[in-house]
Amino acid sequence: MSPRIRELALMALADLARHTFRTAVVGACLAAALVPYLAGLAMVRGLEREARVSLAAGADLYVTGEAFGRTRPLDAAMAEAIRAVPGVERVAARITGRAYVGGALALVLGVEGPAAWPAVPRAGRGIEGPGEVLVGAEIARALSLSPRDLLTFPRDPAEVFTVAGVFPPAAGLWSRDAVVMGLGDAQDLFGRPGQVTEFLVWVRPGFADTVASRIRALNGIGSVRIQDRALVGALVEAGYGTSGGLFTALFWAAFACSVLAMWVVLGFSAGERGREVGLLKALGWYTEEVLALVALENGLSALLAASGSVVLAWLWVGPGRGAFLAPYFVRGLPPVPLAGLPYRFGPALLLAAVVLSETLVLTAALVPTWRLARRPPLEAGT
Amino acid sequence: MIPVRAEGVEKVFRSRGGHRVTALAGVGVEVPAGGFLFVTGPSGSGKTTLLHVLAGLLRPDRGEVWWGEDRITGLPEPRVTRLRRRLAGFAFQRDRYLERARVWENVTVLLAAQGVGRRQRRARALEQLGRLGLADWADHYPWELSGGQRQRVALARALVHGPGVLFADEPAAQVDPDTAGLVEAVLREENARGVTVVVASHEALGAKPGDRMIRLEPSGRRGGAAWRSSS
Repeated sequence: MSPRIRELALMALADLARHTFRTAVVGACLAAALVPYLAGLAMVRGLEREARVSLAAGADLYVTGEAFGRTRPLDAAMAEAIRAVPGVERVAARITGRAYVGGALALVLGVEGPAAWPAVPRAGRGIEGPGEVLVGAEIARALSLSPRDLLTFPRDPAEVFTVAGVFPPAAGLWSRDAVVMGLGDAQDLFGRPGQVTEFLVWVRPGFADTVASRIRALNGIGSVRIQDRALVGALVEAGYGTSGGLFTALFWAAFACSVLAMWVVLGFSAGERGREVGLLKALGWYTEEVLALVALENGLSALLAASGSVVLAWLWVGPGRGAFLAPYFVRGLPPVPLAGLPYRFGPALLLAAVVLSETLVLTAALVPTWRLARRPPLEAGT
Repeated sequence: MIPVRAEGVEKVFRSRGGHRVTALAGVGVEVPAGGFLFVTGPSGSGKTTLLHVLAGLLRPDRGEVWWGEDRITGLPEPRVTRLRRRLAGFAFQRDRYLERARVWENVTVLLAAQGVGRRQRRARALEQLGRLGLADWADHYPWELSGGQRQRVALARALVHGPGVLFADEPAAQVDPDTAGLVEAVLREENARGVTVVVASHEALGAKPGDRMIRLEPSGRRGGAAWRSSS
């Protein structure tokens, strides 16, 4: 680094410390816009990644029944027919539904066989027989449930379940409002004996298309919708892309307000800046040196603001559990969730924070300074 | 050693209300290299304006200013800045400081742009402030100093980079006689080293044989009335 640049950088650093109010207000304006943006997008990226991981660990094909363009139940007995299709390695039937429990809308999962059971940590034990359920953290909190407690659903109060275990908050997003039970129990709960909502099918590599065609052609299965892993992945991506896009749009509205606020603040200090620029020019500073000083000062200010914003955003989505922000991305979550949503601060997000800050602050600072620095010294200072 | 020359300098200020105030009308001066010029006159006679024009801080409406072979009134602003940085030092009369920087940092603000290290800058500031009796005030802020002390800081700042020509606007206007003597002694020392010195003040106190002098006399205030200069 040349001595001139080094001394200018040191002077810029000293200027930042001297103008504490200006630095603080500019930083606050930037943080007010950046922190929600970073926190929100970090959450979107985290959710997306978790979805991808789940997807990678999931089945190759998802088979659901279809009638009049809507989903319909499938006959559970079709599992055997699907198993017999060449290329199929494994089939699991599942019931996915929604049911109220104690005033909360729960995701009811009826699963069969150990292979389809979610291997996640839990308090208590696993399901060992009919009439036992595992409940998610939010449901457990809402209903004050713990292992060995009893649970009934309003739709069938006569059927009493025993809570075998509770998923901890960190078990995964899907588990928070879930009630997991055996397939037979779920069929009874929804009054659909012998029926399931979907089949999960694992196939040998390269057989997905062939197996899908053969399943569609099975006698008795009727009209089905088959989604493969790639299609589900694309839907996941589109979903998070939409919520990320909406959030970005909201962010830009907030950002515009923040820009105006910051420009007003910088406008208040324009008189002092003008006197400084006039003095420096009168003493023999070149225009490019004045601009370099202002650029370094504001560049450092923006970098500090961006770094601070990243830390604050992390505190929000990490230890702060994404309070008041998480429900925007996952419907049904309370304002302060029991555990934070997954989040991810990737390099692109961090770079965006820095670039946005720098662009905004440098534009706000350099344009007026450049105009001042081109004027004769005494005019710039008055 | 830089000679300074001005010919037919005119400067008119226009107020926002549309009034015209003629600050300088046809002023001409010449200071040889290593010379000493007093610009005197009553308050409001245009001394500061003339100094600003001579130092290239203000463009005249008419007339020419020369520093040696360079006609600075014909040069673009960046070239004038370049020359001023290399050749000139200017001690302002009015408070012109980086308000939040310490005295020694204010004194060496040009050296910072030239890449001179902090330690060396401080040493050079202390040297100049010591000459003017302000070494103990180096770590204070300008607003902690009296008007006279601030003027001496301005003089130290004008001298710290070793200029060939020094412009000092009322350098001893607000100081006691002893301090005025100190300021004058520093100006004389610089002049003895070959620095061309141009001083604006009410009276040419301390003038010596061989010094040049120009007295500006106001002959009217508004409406285009001219100011008369004599030398």
